[in-house]
Amino acid sequence: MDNKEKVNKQQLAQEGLKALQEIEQELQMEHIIKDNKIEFKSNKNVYRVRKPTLVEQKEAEKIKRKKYIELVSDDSYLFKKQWIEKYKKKGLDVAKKEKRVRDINFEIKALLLKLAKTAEKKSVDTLVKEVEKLRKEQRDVAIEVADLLNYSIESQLTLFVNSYVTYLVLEKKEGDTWKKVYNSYNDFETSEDEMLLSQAFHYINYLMYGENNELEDTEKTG
Amino acid sequence: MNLKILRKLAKSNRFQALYRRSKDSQIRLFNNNYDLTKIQEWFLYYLEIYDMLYKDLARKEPYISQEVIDSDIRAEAYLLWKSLDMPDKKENKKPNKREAITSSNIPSMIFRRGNK
Repeated sequence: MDNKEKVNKQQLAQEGLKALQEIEQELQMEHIIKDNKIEFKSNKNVYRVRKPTLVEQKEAEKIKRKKYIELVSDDSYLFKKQWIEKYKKKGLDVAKKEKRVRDINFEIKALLLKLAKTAEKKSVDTLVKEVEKLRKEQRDVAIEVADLLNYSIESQLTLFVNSYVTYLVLEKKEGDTWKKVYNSYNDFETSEDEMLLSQAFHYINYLMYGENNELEDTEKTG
Repeated sequence: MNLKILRKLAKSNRFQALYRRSKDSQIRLFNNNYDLTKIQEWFLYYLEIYDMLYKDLARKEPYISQEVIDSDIRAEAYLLWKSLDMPDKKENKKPNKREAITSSNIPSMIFRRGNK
């Protein structure tokens, strides 16, 4: 087998693998969208997360309120605006980064309007690449801002509520019935089954929030 | 959330056909009829969007083609242009009395006047 043939075979194998992965992802997505409950396996057991009931949502709201009071009363926690001020004093302009995220939206819109009326392949490719480049920049800056403000009261509260809701709706299949995995939020928080929790958080996102909340509008409207 | 895969499913012939039938209540898209999850809401949004795009393609609206539908970014560009009151929208519109749906992936139909 000569080198050219070898490369072709490798390329074909890679393409085949990519196609298989895509099929697998599509099947997985079909499984996720078919119901408002998502079943998954972890350590040979079957688990599920489901949409919280109204009673559970009310419970989560009540707990959120309590947590908010707790965070506000603790002087070591700061609001987003306070963090932005602190960073500014250290020479880091978070507000400017947030503005850049918004400005990129306008730049993308202008490019998209141009792209909408373009049919010539070369120009289309160039415009698509420009949009992709700006989207990447927007995502990177948004992630940077989110990381910088991760310890803010707002972010900590969101994190806490996501965890609490996951604790409420994570269930294990036992025979024909579904039983709550953890008896208390404390058990959930101190659980060492990181694999199970990370899968649960992953799937709860599909049910409740959407991973790129801040970028949703961008993706919908361009 | 993997929106790319979700869009791929939403624009597929299979889900477009299921979506059209679900509108006549012949079949259900999901196991649950209410209390939709976030991802189900997104999926419905994309089903509706691609249904509209395929209809525009059938009507031979300006700036729409199968290539536009196939590309996520180009489809977004077209939707944005369509959502705005662009001055060139009306100028480019070519009315078609005989509409032929031939360039889409959706099973094609040709509407002709009868000879009666």
